[in-house]
Amino acid sequence: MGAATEYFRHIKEAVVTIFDGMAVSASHLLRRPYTIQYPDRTPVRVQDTLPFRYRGILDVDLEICTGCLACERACPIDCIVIVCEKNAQTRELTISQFDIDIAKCMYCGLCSEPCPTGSIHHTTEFEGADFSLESLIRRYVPEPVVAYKVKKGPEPDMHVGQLLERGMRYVDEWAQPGGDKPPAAPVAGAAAKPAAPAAGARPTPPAASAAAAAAKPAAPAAAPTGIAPPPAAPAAPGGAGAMPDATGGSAGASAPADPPVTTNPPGKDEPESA
Amino acid sequence: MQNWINRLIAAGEFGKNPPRDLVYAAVIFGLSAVVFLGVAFPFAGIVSWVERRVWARIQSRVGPNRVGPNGSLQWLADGAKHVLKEDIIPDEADARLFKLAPYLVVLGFVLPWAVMPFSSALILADLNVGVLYFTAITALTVVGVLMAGWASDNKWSLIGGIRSAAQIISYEIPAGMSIFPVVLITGTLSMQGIIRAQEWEPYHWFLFSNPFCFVAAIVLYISALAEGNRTPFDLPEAESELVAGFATEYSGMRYLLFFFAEWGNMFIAGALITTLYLGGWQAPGLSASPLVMNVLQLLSFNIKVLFLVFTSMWVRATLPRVRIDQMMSLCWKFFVPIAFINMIGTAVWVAIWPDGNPVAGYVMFALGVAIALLFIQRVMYYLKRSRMEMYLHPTI
Repeated sequence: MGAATEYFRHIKEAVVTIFDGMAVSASHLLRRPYTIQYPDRTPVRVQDTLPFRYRGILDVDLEICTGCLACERACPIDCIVIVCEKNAQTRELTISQFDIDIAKCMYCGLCSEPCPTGSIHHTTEFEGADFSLESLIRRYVPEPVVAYKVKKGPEPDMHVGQLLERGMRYVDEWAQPGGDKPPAAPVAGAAAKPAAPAAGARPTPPAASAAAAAAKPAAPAAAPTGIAPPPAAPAAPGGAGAMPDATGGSAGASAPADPPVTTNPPGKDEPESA
Repeated sequence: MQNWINRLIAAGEFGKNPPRDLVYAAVIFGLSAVVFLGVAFPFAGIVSWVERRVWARIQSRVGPNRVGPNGSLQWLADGAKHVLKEDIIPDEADARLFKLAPYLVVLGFVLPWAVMPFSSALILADLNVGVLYFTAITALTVVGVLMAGWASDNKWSLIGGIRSAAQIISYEIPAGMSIFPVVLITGTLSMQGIIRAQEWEPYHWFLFSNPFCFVAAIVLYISALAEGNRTPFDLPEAESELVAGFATEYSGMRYLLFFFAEWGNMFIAGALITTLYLGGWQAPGLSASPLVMNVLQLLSFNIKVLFLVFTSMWVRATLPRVRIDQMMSLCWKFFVPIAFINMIGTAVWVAIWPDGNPVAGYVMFALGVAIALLFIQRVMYYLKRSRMEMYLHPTI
């Protein structure tokens, strides 16, 4: 008796569940597919739907670049190469090379944090495929240009003003979480922080971002002198600590002496493999 | 057909005193070749594309939509690709059997078209044992599949082939016994005879002629899915356990032939059920012209068959694959007894009402409509619960 009931219960359950299952799949047949036909059949470009802070391929607004080299120092894998020269008479800073190797870039965003003007920033562009590694090196300086100088009053040039506004918005948004510390104290803090976990290879990203964001207000002051490291040096360990080649306990000691000052040595590409 | 050829001969289309047998053979072979190239293969191809689109929609995707308008030429692209692929025969394989197997499978898909009753006139051969021929020929597939599995000299192929053989032979029994009720009612095995015993109104179909036939039709449909290696029963080519089953070692056009047969068998199975239970080509008599009537009948037949083909895609997108022992127990413990009950029940029914119960058709039809309405209600319920708008556009 029990077996017979079981038998018919199986049949009933099979019929009822398949009936309902077919109804479920039929209802799916009547819905709109979720698919976004990404490259070519989207209503708007996917890039345009991404948030302002999306970390896509880097871009540089050369018009507002102060040539402070903060980004170059912050980059943990040295994919940024900047060459600046200072005219001894006019005290003018000329940027003659600003290359970013997109193939090396790991989109960590550390370079855009210390930028005083928001000149170097991530775009929402992410389609970087190309046929050769060389073409992935973005060269932003076709011919040497004079570096931007931060002015006291409002920016007279309309175009530059817009860029600056956008750049500062970008930087400020970085500074949002815990970036509003008093500018004086963190200089010591930034120097102390990398030294404390010196045994560890690199500081955790939040610490780095806080340190770099805190160091930022000091950077514009240092910017006009740019290449002259002394005022900016305390900030350097923050960048150096994030460098992969910072070795063991000596990191804190060696780092201040380490930062390349003006030009980049040819061996700049090597740390990646180190 | 014969009359038509006789008339052509009389009109001197084939010269004076042609050898009649040869002319018959030539005309029939020619026509079947045309039907075959013009209907069967494109059908199998187009079905592969439609199937992918239907699955995709059920899975909230789009499906192939790049080759040709909305991807409608995808099947041609796939076919061209397969033809251009290298035809590999493994060293250890039994080359002759290995080459022969796909053709036998295709043969099992080709030959049933000979008795395919598209309309009252459009049938190649109205055999008096049409249904028997149909089931016998479709079972030829199993020889090809088993041969492919054996000749490949590969564990997966062999298991796939054996499984397929076990499956097809097992499901032949409920399928065959689900054909009996109709044969009992009509007393004929001829496809045209069975269709002529029905009428175009749904309540005169054998599906609704008595409760046993209704169940028998469902059993036949599920058995046909199993025989065609369709998804709830596609164990022979269960990719998660057997790679591609009996087709593992095949490549290029030979591989494609197996799938031709699979997609084509969807039509074959649909045609069998349409003929037996859904009134075949019966169409409302809207016109006195035989030509118009034949077109209507062709439409009627194809709409029913295509609906069944669509249902099999839909089932495939819905149900998971059954386990091998479940498949066997489903057949032997459930379908065979149910098919027996259907057969005996119909026999009793026919003994009581030799000309058919006059009321049963209407009652059963009402029941069928009620089930359909209940189903639509369930679909609407699930659609409403998903809080998504109905989107009926076939493309995105």
